[in-house]
Amino acid sequence: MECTVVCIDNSEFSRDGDYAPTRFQAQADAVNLLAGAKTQAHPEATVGVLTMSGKTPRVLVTPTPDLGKVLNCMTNIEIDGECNVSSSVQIAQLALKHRQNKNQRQRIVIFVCSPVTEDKEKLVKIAKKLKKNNVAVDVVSFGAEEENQEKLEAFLEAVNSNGNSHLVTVPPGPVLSDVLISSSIFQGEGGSGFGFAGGVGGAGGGAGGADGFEFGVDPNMDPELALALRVSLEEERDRQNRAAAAAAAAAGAAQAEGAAAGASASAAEGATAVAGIAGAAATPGPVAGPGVGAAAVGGDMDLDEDALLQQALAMSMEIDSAAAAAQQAAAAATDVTTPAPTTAPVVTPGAPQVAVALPPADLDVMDEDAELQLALQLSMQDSGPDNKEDQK
Amino acid sequence: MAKDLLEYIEFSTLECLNEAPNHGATLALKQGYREQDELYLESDTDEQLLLNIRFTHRVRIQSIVIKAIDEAKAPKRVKLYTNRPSLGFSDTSSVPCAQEIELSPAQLAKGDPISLKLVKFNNVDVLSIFIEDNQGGEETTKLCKIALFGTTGEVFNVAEIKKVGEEK
Repeated sequence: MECTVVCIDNSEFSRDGDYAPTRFQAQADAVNLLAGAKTQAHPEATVGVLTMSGKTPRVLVTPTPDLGKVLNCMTNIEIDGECNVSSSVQIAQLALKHRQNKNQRQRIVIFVCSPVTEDKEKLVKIAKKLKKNNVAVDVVSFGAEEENQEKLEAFLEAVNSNGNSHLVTVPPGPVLSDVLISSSIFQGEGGSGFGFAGGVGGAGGGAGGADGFEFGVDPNMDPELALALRVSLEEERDRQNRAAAAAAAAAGAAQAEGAAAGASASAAEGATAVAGIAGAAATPGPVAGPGVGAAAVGGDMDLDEDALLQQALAMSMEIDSAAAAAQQAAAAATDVTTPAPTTAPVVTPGAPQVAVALPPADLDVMDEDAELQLALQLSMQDSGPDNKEDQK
Repeated sequence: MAKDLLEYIEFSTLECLNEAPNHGATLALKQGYREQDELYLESDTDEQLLLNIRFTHRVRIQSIVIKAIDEAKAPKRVKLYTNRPSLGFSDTSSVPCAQEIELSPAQLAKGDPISLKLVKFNNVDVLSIFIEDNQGGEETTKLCKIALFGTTGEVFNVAEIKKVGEEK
């Protein structure tokens, strides 16, 4: 869990177009991604922004967990003057010192695209002061790499404590953001950059993106969070097992339980007609649970996507083929309703679903539900042909 | 009546500024580690150290033990601050300290307990130990043991009440 202050180089040197479209714009994109990754990695992580050039370095955003503020301020920065690295870093350190949550670790990320005017000794002195105060520093050097290389390397060596600080030099050519995403600056968060980019739903993505540790860097920084995540994953697995076992036992009561469990899992609405859909939603419910509630390891994320797709499919199939299916269902209404509850359990062992059938209170609802089941089974079952014959 | 306050130290929030990577504060504080002189706490960039210790209960600290076998690198001036969460090096010059101790080589070698002003250390949640410099003016400071002795404030010992009743 970190408090990060990003120092931006908005000097005249950043107008240069050797990084597309300009050094400044490439930098802004990288900062946006970085801020996103940091806030996704931990809900309490904060990011602040500071500009290094101009009359004096200015803190534009004090460390905040609100990504919107950071993105917003990036659009209002003007290019002006020359960078003053030493005072910027000291101001950043002050901002970190006055962070709200003292449990957060301190980090400064510096983007440099202009020649550093301070001499090596001064930089090393500043670095030592940072190290003494437990501040980690990441430096992104682009644009003026050769001139700054020696100074920045000395700076990094002085500030680095046990590998917590990094220096990334980006040559002109590749996109700055891409190089950074795969570098140790992003990877330090357990690869959550990827989770942020491609996750299904915010929670699933942020939680599922961590590859280094189970559930992310939890044991080291947040043992209570790790425990809570593990416990909820266990509970979810138990619920799935119980649901599968209940479905296998071909009893109406068991299925009603399943309906209730499924309904609560997906926070179903009250109306019975809608509950029919919610029942179907409940079938991917237990599967989607891990992704939404607790952490999801890679495999579960795929299931979430599949489940959501199938839910969408089922719903659209229900709407499209409502007329056609209704005729089918109406023709064999009584026959379908009774076999449906019993054949459904036969079908379920093949897929991780809870077959849901509401108690036959309302014939219309029953028909909807039956055709829903048909649609689901048709689209999802490998052994579809056999079961279709059974039902007919 | 003073007992070792080790069990009340919250190690999860223990913070030691300017400690060397492999010679951290836990080596000087934790049971077992602190008894071994080879496992020591050493400073990193310069000779100063700042330890922020949080307690699980409010404690009354009566004495402190600091043991160091390396004479030149042993701590000399030590300042203690109470109830200042996340004290930083820059704060040490501005914030008044609860007590300032100057350690003598004899005290350090034997690890004698040093009594503290009771009034100032009565209700302590967070204790900050600032080691300002060392005996020999060396670049780093080394110490092998830090122990705190005192009592926990509002402990209601039912067993003691019974005894009094029996006496009567």
